[in-house]
Amino acid sequence: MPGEELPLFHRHFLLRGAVFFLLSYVLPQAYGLPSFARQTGQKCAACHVGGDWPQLTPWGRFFKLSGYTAGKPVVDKEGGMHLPVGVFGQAGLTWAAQPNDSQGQTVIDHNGVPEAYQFTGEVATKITNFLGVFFEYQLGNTYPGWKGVSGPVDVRAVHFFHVSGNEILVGIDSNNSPTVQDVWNTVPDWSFPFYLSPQALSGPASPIIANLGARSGSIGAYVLFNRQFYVEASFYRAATDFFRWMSAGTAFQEGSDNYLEGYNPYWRAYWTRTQGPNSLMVGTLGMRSHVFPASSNPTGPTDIFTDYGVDSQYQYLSDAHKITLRGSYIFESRTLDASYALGASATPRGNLKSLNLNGSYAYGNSWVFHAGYFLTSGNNDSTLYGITSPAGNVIATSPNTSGYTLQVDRSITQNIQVMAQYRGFVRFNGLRHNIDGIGRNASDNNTFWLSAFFAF
Amino acid sequence: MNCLKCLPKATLICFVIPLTVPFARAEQRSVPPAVVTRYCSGCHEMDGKSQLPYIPRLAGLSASYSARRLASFRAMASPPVDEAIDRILHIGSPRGDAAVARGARAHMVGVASAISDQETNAAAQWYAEQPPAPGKNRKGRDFEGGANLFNKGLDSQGVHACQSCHGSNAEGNGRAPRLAGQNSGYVMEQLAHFRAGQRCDSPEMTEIARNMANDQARAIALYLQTR
Repeated sequence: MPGEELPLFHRHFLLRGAVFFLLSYVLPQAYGLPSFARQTGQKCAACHVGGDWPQLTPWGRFFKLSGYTAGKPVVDKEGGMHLPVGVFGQAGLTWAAQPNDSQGQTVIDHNGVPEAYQFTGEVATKITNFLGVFFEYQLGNTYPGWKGVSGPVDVRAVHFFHVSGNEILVGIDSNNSPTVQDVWNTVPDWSFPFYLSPQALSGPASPIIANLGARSGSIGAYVLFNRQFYVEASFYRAATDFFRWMSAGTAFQEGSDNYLEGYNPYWRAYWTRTQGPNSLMVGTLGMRSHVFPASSNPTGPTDIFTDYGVDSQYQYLSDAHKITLRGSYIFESRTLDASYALGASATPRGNLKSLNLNGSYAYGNSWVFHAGYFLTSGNNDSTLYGITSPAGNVIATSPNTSGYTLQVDRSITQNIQVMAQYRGFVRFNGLRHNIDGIGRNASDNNTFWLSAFFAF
Repeated sequence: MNCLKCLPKATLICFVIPLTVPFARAEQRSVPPAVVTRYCSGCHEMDGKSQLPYIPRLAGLSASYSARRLASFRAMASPPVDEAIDRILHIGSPRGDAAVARGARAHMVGVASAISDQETNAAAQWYAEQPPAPGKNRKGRDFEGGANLFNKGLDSQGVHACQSCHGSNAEGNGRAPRLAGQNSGYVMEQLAHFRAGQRCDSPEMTEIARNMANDQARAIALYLQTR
């Protein structure tokens, strides 16, 4: 309520920080997929930078590209066996700068209340020397209510060719989200921030390529040449029929999910080079998507989204100090004829641009510090992005949202990681101040999030 | 139908590019064993000339030494996946093998236990046959000190000359590994492991490392990298 005195713990940033650092020290270090750790016999830090999921080391990238086929099969030749499964859980607390608006209405639910966020089960394993699978199913707190839905799914078949002293890795891949198959932490599915509190607010728009997870299924092929040049072509369709298992929990019939028409092309290419402890990657990706305006009625005309992206990563790796700098820019061209005809968009043509710049520093396999900046911008659209004040005035029609994320991760053991994250907004819906017409500022949406991750 | 319109463009973008790439590594002719392709090369590179400073360069390392080293990794206990549970179950007990697994290259313990004897030998043989990496041409201020320790040792301190076992050019032999051109970060780390008792496969090296000061270990490592 306005003017209500908040409890001491909610008011003091330092006190929250102290709890995080206390947890970091009192609890007895890294986190990755437990089933792959069982398969390879390696610590999480072998594949994840500083043991911090999901950032990948060169070996982690190669392990993924080679179809998760390194290591022991579920039952090895000596009769030994490991379980190719793992479970995760996440819980924590989220505080908003202003959880309520100036009229006392709740903007951010369960402010400062301890919450469970997700329980996830995974099956991830090498099946044969050329076939591997990675499958997750998540039960997530969606505010309101809990919902079970397919997490990342990635099935790969690979073969190595050696021609005139050159290595050519050829793979076939099927997955349930564009970019989930990627090995760089610059693409939407794996980019920083790697996690966001489900209670925290996000901007009003993001490119379609980032919004097809557990709604699409793909078939594609890739080639990795001398571990330097990579090219991939995939085709995504709605995850129905044969692909339905990849979208378990997605209710297309409710109308608000992205339902693809036909087979939609996705492309990815990059070049990478390593020199001593330094490595550099420069890449491009993109997708052309035909999406029905309502997933409950997947017939008739579609909207067309064409995404073009460029991305790059620099990484310095030594045993104790690891630095990663990442950047990506996606331009999306939108032809919204179908939505426009139905009144679901105010303009038949538009665009959306998404910029992400961030970096991480890992000290050993215990502490990881992250910082990132994000900017989403695009054309005005009073239907898609319109905000109306209680007095009935349209105060915003822009998707422009920008801000920053600061985060500290501490790996307690391989199975437990605690995280403190501050997410700040500079602009929300194109506005800095009075974003709701009754005095709320963009920075009032800022959140501080403490969470703990468990993986077994 | 939509995809058909874009198919030619996508194919052009995704599959023509590699055809334009020159086949840059034509000097490496033979086909590596599968275990090297899928496993070892992920960190050590196909030619055994790892770029990362803390990963050892295996090119030219004697096969018998590599096989022996892999066997010693296999003899260690794998790091527990469920470390949190393991710690609870073993509260108060000495760290033992777990200390070795945590402090040393914990991922090598897993790799060595996941591959067969045949694969171990094939990998060791492959890397033994690769031409050694040339030394890095960098002579820092510690270079002369490192050269002296390598060639003459420091008897007053109990540090024997490295060349007496590893060869006058640090070329190694079946018993002592090749050190010429080795990544300095890796050498320093191994000396630290000997000193801390986390590496126990050479009592002689344990003693030498314990008699060596940190700056001396660094000087030797930097000198060896240039050989």
